[in-house]
Amino acid sequence: MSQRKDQKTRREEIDVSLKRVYQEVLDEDIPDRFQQLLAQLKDQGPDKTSGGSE
Amino acid sequence: MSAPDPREELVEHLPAMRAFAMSLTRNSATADDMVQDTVVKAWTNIDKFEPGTNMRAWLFTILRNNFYSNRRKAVREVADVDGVFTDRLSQKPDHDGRLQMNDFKTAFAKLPDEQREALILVGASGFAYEEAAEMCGVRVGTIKSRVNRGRNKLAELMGLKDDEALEMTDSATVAVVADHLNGRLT
Repeated sequence: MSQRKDQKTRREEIDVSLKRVYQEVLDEDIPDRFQQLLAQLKDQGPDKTSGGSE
Repeated sequence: MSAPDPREELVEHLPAMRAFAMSLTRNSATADDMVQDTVVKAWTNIDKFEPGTNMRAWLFTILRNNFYSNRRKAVREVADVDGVFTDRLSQKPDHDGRLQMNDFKTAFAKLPDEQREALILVGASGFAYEEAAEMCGVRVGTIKSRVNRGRNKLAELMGLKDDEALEMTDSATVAVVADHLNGRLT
């Protein structure tokens, strides 16, 4: 039977698919909320333990 | 020139963090909330990051710890598979490819959290087994085992899909599948 070959091919397909799913999100624009967040954090000043509210 | 502030680097890792978060939560809204929490935590705890070490690994560790501690606390959330995945359906006019991707995404969402995590860390993010093990706080053997079981499960789920377009919605269909599987094993 070609079951073993199918398995190997399938694993390779899986790896390709994993990367593709991941890459799809990587390719997206970062939502504005994150830029805003970073700007807010920077505004809080150099104090590293500013303890922003949750 | 003063040493670069490691916090400046955070923004570069946001896409990867989102991708990792999506694979864990299977829900876009929750994923972005989780990334936001992670960014805040990383920012305020930046002194715990050792400059020169792998920031992405450090961020991913904070993120996954956040995921698992929320999972323990929160009511089980419905995996919004459609929300995360169908929005991102490949636009490429690759007929078979698109069907396969749908099947893959649906199958992937069915895996246990730890297996999805291991597959994404090792298979998609490019971390070594040793790095992934450290991030997850387990032994290398455990990560390898999760990756293998995850792959086998995916292969099994997708193998079924290739042979028959199933919805697995009724017991009659399930019976057919069971028969088919039994036929395969003999």
